[in-house]
Amino acid sequence: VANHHDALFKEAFSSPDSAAAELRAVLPSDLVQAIELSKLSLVPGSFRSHELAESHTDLLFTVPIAGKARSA
Amino acid sequence: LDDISHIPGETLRARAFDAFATVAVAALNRSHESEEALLQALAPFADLFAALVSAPHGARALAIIFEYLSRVAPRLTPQGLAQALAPYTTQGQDILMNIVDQLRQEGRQEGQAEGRALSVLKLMKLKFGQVPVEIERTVSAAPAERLDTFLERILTAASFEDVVRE
Repeated sequence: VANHHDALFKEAFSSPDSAAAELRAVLPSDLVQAIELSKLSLVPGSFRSHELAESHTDLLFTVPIAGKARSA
Repeated sequence: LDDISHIPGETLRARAFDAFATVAVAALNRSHESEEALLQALAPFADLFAALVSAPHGARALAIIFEYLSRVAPRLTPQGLAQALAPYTTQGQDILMNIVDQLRQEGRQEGQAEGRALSVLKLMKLKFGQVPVEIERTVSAAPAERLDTFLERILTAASFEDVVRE
């Protein structure tokens, strides 16, 4: 059975800005400081709306950890 | 952890979500209550509904929100939503009603394509097995007319590629 609550949430929070705002509000402050939430990026394919009826994929983001060199 | 569906309306705006996410959470908050309570909770966010009209991807966001609202409140009409929002926005009821009517129309068209895409995927899965991610992407991004072509091709196609070729 499709979960339309879940579907709405995922659609709304696939925006990195809103996802970052939520993470900023709920994560411990030292963790918030350690990650670059402004560079939050949705992993492509982690969410496709047409699949909602059949699978439950969470939103998946990547974020750079501050002070770590980016891998080339 | 944070139960996002229970952020009170007053603190919701402080979260700095975009308009879509704010309205979505406001709707999720009251989704198990009566239609009246749901509309009451949404009304103070009328300005965000209005903002979405001109926002990039705003029309899609509004369509998704309205689709959700009609699932949790099956008797909710676009007029009902417009009437509930109107006192809270300077844009006036007429403008809002036009917006919502337009959305309902778009939502229907989008729903048709989505339904057809699901059928295509289901039939392909039955015939060829697990659908590769690339094929899935092509199907879900295809407009309704192209999906009709896909549907017809599944009968005679020998592979996934046969179905979705140009």
